[in-house]
This record gives sequence, C-alpha cells and structure tokens, in this order.
Amino acid sequence: MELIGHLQLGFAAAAGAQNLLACFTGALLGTLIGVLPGLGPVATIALLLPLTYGLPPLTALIMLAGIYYGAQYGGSTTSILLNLPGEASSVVTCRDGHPLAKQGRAGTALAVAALGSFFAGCVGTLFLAACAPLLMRFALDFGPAEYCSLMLFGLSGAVAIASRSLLKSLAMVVLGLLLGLIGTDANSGVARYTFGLRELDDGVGTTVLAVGVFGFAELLHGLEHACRRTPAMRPCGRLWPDRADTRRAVPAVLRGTALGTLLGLLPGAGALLPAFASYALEKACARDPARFGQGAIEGVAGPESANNAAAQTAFIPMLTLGIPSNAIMALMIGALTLHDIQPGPQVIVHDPVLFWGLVASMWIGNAMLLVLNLPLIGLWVRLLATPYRLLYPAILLFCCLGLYALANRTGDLYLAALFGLLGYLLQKSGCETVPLLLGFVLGPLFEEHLRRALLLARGDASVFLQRPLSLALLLAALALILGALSPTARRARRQLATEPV
Amino acid sequence: MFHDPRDGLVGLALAATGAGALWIARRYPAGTAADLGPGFLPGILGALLLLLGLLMAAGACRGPRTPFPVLQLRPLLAVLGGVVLFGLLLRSAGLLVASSALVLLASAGLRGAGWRVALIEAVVLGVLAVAVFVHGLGLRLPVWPAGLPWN
Repeated sequence: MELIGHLQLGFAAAAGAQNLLACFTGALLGTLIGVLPGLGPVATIALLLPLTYGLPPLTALIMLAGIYYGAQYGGSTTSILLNLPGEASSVVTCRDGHPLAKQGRAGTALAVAALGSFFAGCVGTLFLAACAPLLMRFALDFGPAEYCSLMLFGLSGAVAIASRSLLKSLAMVVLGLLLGLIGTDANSGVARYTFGLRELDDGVGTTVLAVGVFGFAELLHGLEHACRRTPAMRPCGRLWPDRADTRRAVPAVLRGTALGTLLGLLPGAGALLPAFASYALEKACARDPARFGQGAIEGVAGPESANNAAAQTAFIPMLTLGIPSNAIMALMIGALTLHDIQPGPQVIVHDPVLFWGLVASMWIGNAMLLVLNLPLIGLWVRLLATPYRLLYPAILLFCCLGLYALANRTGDLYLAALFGLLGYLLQKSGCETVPLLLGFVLGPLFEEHLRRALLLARGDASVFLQRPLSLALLLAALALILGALSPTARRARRQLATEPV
Repeated sequence: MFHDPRDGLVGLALAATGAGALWIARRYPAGTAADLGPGFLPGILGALLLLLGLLMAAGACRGPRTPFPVLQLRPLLAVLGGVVLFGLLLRSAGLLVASSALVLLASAGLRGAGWRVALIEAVVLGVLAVAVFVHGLGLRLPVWPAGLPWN
C-alpha cells in the first residue's frame, strides 16, 4: 500500500502542466527520431542535453526518458512500412514486419507493435516501481568495496554483451576511464591531463563529450549515408488484428515482455539484445518456424514488446545504484549531475518526488505514445520526406548554442568538435563508443570508491574478495568476460557484426 | 605488414595514447595502498591501454586482408569546421553572423545542396537563434558584430 501512496505522489508531480508538456515533447521527439533514420535516441539525447540545463531536474528527466521510449515506438513504424530501421533495436522488426506490409497487412503489424509496446511499457514500469525500492534498500548497505565490484561488473557487462569485438570494447572502456580522470583530482588537488588548460580543471563535461562523440559523430554518419530516394509507401490496410492474429500475438507479447523486463536489467544490454533474444525465443516456441521471415506476427509482437519493456527496466540500475547500464542511462546521469544530483539509493530516499514522478510520467508517456502512433502513422511517414540537408544544420546550430550556454565558454565548443573527430574516427575504426561513455561516467566514481575501500581496509586489497557480495559481483564479472570468450559467443558476435545496424 | 590496416592503425594509436598517459602519469605521486595517490589509476589505465593497443595491432597482422575504410573529408570539415568557426565568431562578430556562418558551412557538407537554399536557411535560423536564445532565454551574447554604430 506504500506503493500506492508513492504513486499518488508521483502522479501529482508528473501531472503538472510543465511536466505533462515535457512528457509530450519527449514522446513526440522520440517518435520523430525513431521514424527518421540516421538520428538515434542516444544522439538526440546527447544533442538535447545542453538545453535541459535550464529545466528543473524532474522535467528534464521526464523529457529525456520520453525520447528514449518514444524512439522504441517510432522505430517500428519505418521498419514495418519501409523496411528501414529508424533505430537500431528495430532491425529485428524489419524481418517479419516488412513482409507483413508487403501482404497488405501493415496496419495489423503496426497496431500489434504499438499495443504490444504499450502493454510491455506498462508492465516494465510497474516492475520498476515495485522493484526499485527493494533494490534501493539493499543498495543502502553497499560499502565502497561493493560499489567498486559493481562497477567492474557493469563495465564487463558493457564489454561482453552485444559488442562486436571484445578487445576493442575493452580498450574503449579503458580510454573512457582515462578521459574521466581528466581534471583536478578531488583528493590531492593535482591537475591531471589538463595540459595546462584552465578549462580542463573541472574535468571534461559529460555533455561536451556526449555531444561530440555521439551527436556530432552521428550527424557525420548521417551525412555520409544520406539517402535521397523517397521511399515507396505501402498501404496500411486494416488496423485491428483479427482473431487468428490475436491468438498468435498475445502469447508473444507476454513472452517478449517477460524477457525484455529481465534483460533490461543487464548492464550493457540496451534495447537491441532483448529484441534479438525475443525473436529467437518466438522462433523456438513456434510450431512452424518456417513462417518466420515471411511475415509472422509473433516476430513483430515479441521483439517490439521486449525492447520497450527493456527500455523501462533499464532505468532500475541507474536510479537505484547510480550505475548506468547503457549509453542513454549514462546520459541521464549526466543530466542529473548538471543539477548536482548524484543518482544512487539516496535519491529515492531524499527526493522521492523525482523518482516517483519519473515513474508516473512513464505511464502517461506510454499512453500518449499509443495515441500519437496509431492514428497518426501516416503523418510520421510523410515526415520522412523532410530533406536531411535542411534538418542537420538546424540541429547543429541549436546544439552549439546549447553547449555554449552551459557555461558561457567557447572552449566547450572546440572540445566538443575535437570529441566529434574522435567519435567519427572511432566509428570508422569499428570501435563502439558506448563502452567509452560508460567508462567515462564511471571513471571518477570508481576511483573515489576504490580509494575509500582501500583506506577502510588499511591498504589490504583482499577486502574485495572477503566481502561476500563484492566477491560474487567480481565472479559474475569474470564469468561475463569468460563467457564472451567462448566459441558460442564468438559465433554470435560474428553474426552481429554482419548485421546491418 | 598489416592484413587489416584499419585495426593495425587503431591499435597503434591506442597504444600511443596509453604510452602518453603513462608518461604523463609518472609525474603524479602513486601513493600507498592505504592512501592511493593521483597517479595510481592513471598509471594502471595507461599501461592497460598500451597493452590492449599492442594486442590489437598484433591481431591485425593476421587474418583476412581487409581494405582501409573510406574517410570522407567534406562532411567532416563542414560540420566540425562549422562548430569551430561558430566558436571563433560568437563573441566578436555576434550571434547573427556566427549562426549564419555555421549553417552555411555545415550545409556545404552535402554535395549538391543548393547554395541559395542554404543562404535562406542560414538567415532564417540566424534570426531564430537570436529570437530564441537572446530574447527568449536571455543569453548574454552580442547580436551584431562589435563596433557597429547601433550597438
């Protein structure tokens, strides 16, 4: 019953005019960028991060979260209608969604995707609301040694799961950790890696790094792959699924939701892994697997539910432990630290409105998305015709202004340009930038907890192995890395590497 | 010598970065186990990056021959150059000129984008930026170039 009281608090906060507007803006923007190929949610959130500085923390968080789960909805639209994944996790939806569209059943596929996503989003949010306080109470007992091991576990997850090359991802984590150490060391006052530049004394801002490595680099990627052809639109057909479709889709939605809810908790999983896993599960469960790829409704219902459920539960590690499980969550932490809020178990205790307001906004946002998506699909698809060449200079300009406004420093612009170059080169070299960002965000935190743990243990490094929870986390981290080295995982990675994203 | 010159170069670059980080970190005191100094983690991470980079470069000497990826300079110079130009112009030439210059230069990133459309967009977005950021959000920035009579 405590939960109901909390949710009342949350809804009261989320239903304020400013927050409702933020929720709607986020959901709308998310849908738009989900529909537009070439600009994913990570880049959008990175580019918008500077602009959220002027908003209250809850409002900023609600809007950024809306962009994230909104993109999961929008991405399905172009996958089904145009065989064009607007967003990475929708790659899976193309496989069966587009054949359905070719059969004139696009409407059904879209409705199943939207309804499945809505159901999964609601369940994922409920899970978040029920689970987070429990985990939070557990996390309040964490000592610095546990935090260190937890971060190592999170980083190994980011390296081991869904990465194309283990070695490259590992190097990216290390590079990110190093970049995170730039600036004045809080303990000794020594300025590290600042090259004598005063601007670097406070370290590199998460926003500056994210805008460069994700935002600018993705704009560049979009410019190299800008498609000029106007895609051919398939007619939608009837919207509501008939009884045979419903009978197939409902169990798939349930399975996808359960799978996505659990996988979303994993560090490094993102939205792509749940979608792939759910597709594999549906194929394994089906009586007639040969239908898959030819337009099986389960192949749309399962993955679309899974990625949306995962999009909600991915918030759990970030909100309760302060550990980001993917790039979006790392950016959310960046948004919160802009407001001097360090995410972690204390946030739920000291600032319950922030937590429960965000949770409540997710239900409101999911409901808004259902309305935005089903009747307005035609409108979104027409937006695809907006020429990229008009869009990107505008995005670039507003992003630069936001960056400057953060601290009224032109130095941040040059630094972001430099990181843009780095991001572009890393992308070209097949290095993933998500582990870099996770390492960057966790770097200073890791050093602080490492210091504290060793100080408390009087320099005895075996403290990490003596505390049972810390040991368990370290073993889990080791298992993740060893598992990623196994032949099965190598094969899966090779397959992922050939997958167009 | 590299079968995969891309991974080879990336590996060497990462190794060089690690070596650089290690070289700089030698000036920071490493401290003791109970009281870690500012040089401890940088030293470990630098060494780790050096090792990983060398491993990557070594791995690139084997395996299938892979072509080097194409780097397109035009979008790169247009977008990142635009950002730097914006930063250089912002305080001296004012927001209107800086914004328009950024949009114009960035528009050149796509081949075949008409300059007339780009010019119109530059002016429209420049005015919009002034309206939103200076008049709307109250950002303290010069709108016009310094030294103009109506400033």
